[in-house]
Amino acid sequence: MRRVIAFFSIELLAIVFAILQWGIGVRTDEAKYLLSIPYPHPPFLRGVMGLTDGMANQELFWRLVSATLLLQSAWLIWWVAKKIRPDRAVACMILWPLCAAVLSQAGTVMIAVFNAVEGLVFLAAALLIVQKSNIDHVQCFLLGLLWLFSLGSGYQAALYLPAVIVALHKSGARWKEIALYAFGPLALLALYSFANPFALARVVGTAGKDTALTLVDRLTVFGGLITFSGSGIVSILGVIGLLRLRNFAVLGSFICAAGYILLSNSPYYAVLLCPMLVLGAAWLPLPKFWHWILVPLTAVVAFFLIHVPQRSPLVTAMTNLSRTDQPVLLVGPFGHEAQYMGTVIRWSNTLKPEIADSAQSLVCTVECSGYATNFHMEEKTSAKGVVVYERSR
Amino acid sequence: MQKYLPLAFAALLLILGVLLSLRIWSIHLLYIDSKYRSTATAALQKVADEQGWLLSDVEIRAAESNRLVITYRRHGKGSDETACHEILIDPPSLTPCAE
Repeated sequence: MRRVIAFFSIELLAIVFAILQWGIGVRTDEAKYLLSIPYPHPPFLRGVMGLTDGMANQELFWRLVSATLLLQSAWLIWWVAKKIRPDRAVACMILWPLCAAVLSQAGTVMIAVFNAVEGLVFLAAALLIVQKSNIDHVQCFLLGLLWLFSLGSGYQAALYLPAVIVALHKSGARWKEIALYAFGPLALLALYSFANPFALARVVGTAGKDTALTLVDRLTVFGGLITFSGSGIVSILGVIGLLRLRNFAVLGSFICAAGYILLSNSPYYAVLLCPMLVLGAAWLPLPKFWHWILVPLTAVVAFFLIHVPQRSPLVTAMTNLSRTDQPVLLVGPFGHEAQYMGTVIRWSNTLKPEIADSAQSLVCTVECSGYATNFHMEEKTSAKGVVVYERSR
Repeated sequence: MQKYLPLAFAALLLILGVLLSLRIWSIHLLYIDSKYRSTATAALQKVADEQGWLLSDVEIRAAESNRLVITYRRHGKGSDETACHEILIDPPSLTPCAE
């Protein structure tokens, strides 16, 4: 009965966070996945999302899926912690949704969220599977398929390679099977990157961005991200636990994820560290009552670390359009959320006049009153630097 | 039966690998010839500017010595407008694909 109550409590939290994120509105990366815009990530997951873009409430649906998967993953923590420290399993389980990165990403439609859940599955498999002397073909095949799907959904899944290798090894796989199931899908990911020049350009660009940052700058940003990731408390305990544990699957994945975050400096990757940090914290041999002190403390820190993102002014502006089914001419820089809100024509100085004339409205993120006069349009709304013009009737 | 599962997985990887390799071969000029790459990219950018396209809506299907074959898909909610086009590289111009 207690488990049923826990399940529905977590689900209630997931629904609340999905609705909160829905209220903020779609963001550029989310729109890219919801519409299956083909870069940078491989198509497995975004392809499935793209198939649903005709649904009236597609955004809310995927926010619910994302929040449910991320928050209900607490059960995997419970399962692993029960094996390591049975008397603290519930406290460790509660620490998962109290990580600031988990709470702030719950309900966002980001590939990193799904990769973090997949990573947690691989880590749980690496820790829970009992070493086999003979190969378990079905187990290896299923691990291989999940690994292929994970890599086919997002590049960051590759960070959990150490956990996949350990899970396969414990399933009785020898090196040739490990090469097939773990490295085969990685080779395929490399081929995919070369088959899609835009994806490759974006991945190389992300890894090499902020090249002007010094090592100290990078470490400072990384320190902020790892603090955010585990709400400070779990971050510290997690790192100590990981260093004490010295488990190849968990520590190896942590080092891979930390290295990637150090290079890319993107805040939404903080969630990728959470599986390793919570498992590391679960491993610490603290007295039982300590865990129950840590839970409310982590909740308080998380409350101060989480910030509510701003609604994109472009989404607000385009919500006010009279006709969203007609082409919209966009002047100035904009994100993919514009494509989610309507049919977009990108302005340039060499845009063909007949194409510009087909637009029924003009949305500007830079000063463009001159264009509006040329196209006989009148200002309709203006907010936070985004101005909407519509054709005079 | 279970011992054939590695073979089935290898076959799956092989099929996907062959499909991706064919795709890489069709655009290999973009990787091996830097002069061609810059000319082709400039032609694609010019056409996209004239048409009001976002480059993320363009998929290069084939890169040949004097032309690019692309699929333009206007991503949006509901069914997407999709069309095949050829871009002549020098001078840049856009034509629909021959049937």
